[in-house]
Amino acid sequence: MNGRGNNDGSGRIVVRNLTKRFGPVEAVRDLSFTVEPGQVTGFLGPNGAGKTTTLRAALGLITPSEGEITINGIRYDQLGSPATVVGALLDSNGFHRSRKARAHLRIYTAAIGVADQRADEVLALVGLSDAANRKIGGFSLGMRQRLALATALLGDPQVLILDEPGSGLDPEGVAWLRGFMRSFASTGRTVLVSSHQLAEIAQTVDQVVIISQGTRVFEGKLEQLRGDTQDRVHVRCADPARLATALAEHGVTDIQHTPDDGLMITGAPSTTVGDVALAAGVAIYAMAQERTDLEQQFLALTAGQYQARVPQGPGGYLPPPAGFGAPGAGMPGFPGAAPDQPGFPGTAGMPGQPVPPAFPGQSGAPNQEGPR
Amino acid sequence: MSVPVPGHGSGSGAAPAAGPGAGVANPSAWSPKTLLGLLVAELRKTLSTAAWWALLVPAGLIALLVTLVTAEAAGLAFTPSLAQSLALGSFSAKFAVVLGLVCATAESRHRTLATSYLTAPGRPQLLVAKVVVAAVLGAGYGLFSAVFGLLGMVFGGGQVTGSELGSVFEVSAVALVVFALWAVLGVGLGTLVNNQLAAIVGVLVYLLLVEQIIGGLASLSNLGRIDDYLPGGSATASLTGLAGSEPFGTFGGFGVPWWLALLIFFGYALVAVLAGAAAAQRRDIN
Repeated sequence: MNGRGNNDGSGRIVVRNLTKRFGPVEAVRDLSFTVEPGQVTGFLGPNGAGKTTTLRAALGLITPSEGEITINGIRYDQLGSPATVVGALLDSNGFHRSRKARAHLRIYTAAIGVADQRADEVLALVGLSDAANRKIGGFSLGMRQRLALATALLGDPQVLILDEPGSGLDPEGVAWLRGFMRSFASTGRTVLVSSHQLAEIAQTVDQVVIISQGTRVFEGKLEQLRGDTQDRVHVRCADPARLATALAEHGVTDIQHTPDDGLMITGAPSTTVGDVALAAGVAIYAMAQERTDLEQQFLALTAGQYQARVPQGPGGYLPPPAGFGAPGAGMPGFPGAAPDQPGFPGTAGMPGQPVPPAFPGQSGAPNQEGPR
Repeated sequence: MSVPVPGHGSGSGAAPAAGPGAGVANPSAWSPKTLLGLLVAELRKTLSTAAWWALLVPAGLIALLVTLVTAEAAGLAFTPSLAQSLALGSFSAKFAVVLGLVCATAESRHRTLATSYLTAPGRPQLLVAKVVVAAVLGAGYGLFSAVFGLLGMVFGGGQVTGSELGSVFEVSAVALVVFALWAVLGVGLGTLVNNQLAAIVGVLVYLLLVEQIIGGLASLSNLGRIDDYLPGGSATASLTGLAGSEPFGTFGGFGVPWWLALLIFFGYALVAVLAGAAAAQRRDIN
C-alpha cells in the first residue's frame, strides 16, 4: 500500500484546517469538520461559499493550499482503488453528449474494475433503464443528474459525496433522492451532500455543516441550530411607546419599532407581552408570534457574504438584484431576511454582523406587509 | 488489504451491490489488472464517439490521393517509396497528432476529466493508459494510411515491383511507429494545453506554417537542414530519409539519417508526455 497510514475502513471524512487559495481569492479558510458514517451530513452554504472547492479537495481534484482531507484515514490519492470507496456526483454536465448512457457507464466499469453488468444495475437503480441506449445529449437536466448519480454508484462505494444533487430534479426525483440517501446511510455508509438551500435537505440530514465565505459557521444537529434561536413577537397596539416602556421594566429590552406603528419584540413569548400590555393598560390590536425558523437562521448565519463584499468596490461582487438572495423581498415567511439586501438603508451601518438576533423591522417591514 | 466495513456491502435495498467488501479491496495502484482496466476504459472512450473514424477516413483518403497524383505526375522523379513517405509523413500523419490531441482534450472539453480521475488510482496511471491507447490507435492510422497509399499507387499505374515494393513496405513499417509517436505526442501536448481548440489550432499552425517557413528559410541559408531537428521535420525525415532521396531535388542534402530523425522525434514525443504529466499532476480540476 502506498503512502503513509492505512485505510481504516471507517467511512469517516475528516477535514482538517483546509485552506484553498485561487490566486488572491481565498475560497476556503481554515475549515475543519468531520463527517461520520451511518448518517446523512448536509453541507450548506450560499453560492460561492466554498462548498464545491471543499468537496473537490476531498476527492483529490483540488490540491489544498493548507490542511488536508482524509477519507478512511488517508488521502483520496492513497486509496488505491478510490471509486470502490468513494462515489461522487459533482457535475450534471460531466458527459460527452454524443455518448450513450450505457456506453458512458461502461467506460467507468472498466476503469474501476467492476463487471460491465453493473452499468445496467445502476441504470435500473436510478430509473434510467429505458434511456440506456439514448445519447446523453438528449437528456434533461434531471436525467443527467440521475446518470451522474449512477456513475457515482458504479463502484458500490462506502462513501457518497454529492454536490447539489437535487438541482434539476423534479419533485418526485427529489423525494426519491431523499429516500435513497437515507437508505444508503442506514446501511452504515457515509453520505455528504451539499446544497445552497436548507429546505432541500432539511428533512433528510442528521447533521449539518454550514459554511459562509469559506469558513465554518455551524456544525451540529439541525435541532441545535433551531434551538439557539429566539422567538419574536410582532404587536400592533394603541400606544407602542408605553408598551415598550412597560416591557423594558420587565427586562425585555430588545424591542424595535416597525413602520406600521407596531413593535417587534425579541426574547419574550407572546404570553408575557400580552400580560404586560394588560397591566400597562395598552390595547392590543394584533399580535403574532414568529417562530424563527431554520431557513431564517440559515440566512442569518450566512448573511455576511454579500454585505461584506459590497464595500470592496471594484473587484467585489455586485449586489444581487432585489429578490435574489434576499427572500424577504419576494417570499412570504422570511421577515428576518430583508436586511440581506445590500444597500438597504437599514443595513448600511451593520456590515457582516455574524449571528442572528432579530433584525430591525423598520427597513424590512414595508416589503412584508402583504405576507404578514 | 481487507478491512471489514460495518454495514457495507450487498443486499441493501437502495444499492444492489456488486459484492461485499469491494470497497476496501486495495490493489496496487500500478497493478497490471488496474492498468488493463484503464486501457479498456480509454479504448471505450475513444471508440464510443465519432472522432476516431472522422479523422481516420480523411487520413486514408489523403494518402491515396497523394500517391495517386505523384504516380500520375510523370514529370517528377518520384519513386514509389518516396511517394509513400511523402503521403504518410507530410499528410496523413497530421491526422494522428490531431487524434492524440482530441483524445487528451476531449475530457476537459466535455467535463469528464473529474470522473476519469476519480475512477483511476492516480493521474499518472490515466495518462499512461491514454498514451498506450493513442500509440495503438496511431499505429492503426499508420497501417490504414499505408494501405490506402499503396492503393493510390496501384490505381495510378505506378510500377511497384521487386525491390521498390520492399522499400515501400519499409517506409510503411516505420510509418506505423511515426504515426504512433504522433498520437502520443498529441496526447502529451493535449494534456499540457488542456484546451481542445487551442491545442489543435496551435499544433496545426506550427506544423503547416511555422515549420514550413523555418525549413524554407533554412534551405536558403547556410544552416543546412535544421528543420530535420524540429518535431515535424524529424518525423518527416525519418520517412523520406528511409525512402532514399529528396522529394524535390536537393536543398543542401540530408540533415540526419532516418533512424536518428526517428530517435529525435521519439525524444519530442517523450518530452511532450512528461510535460503533460507534470502539468496534469498539479492542475486543479474545478
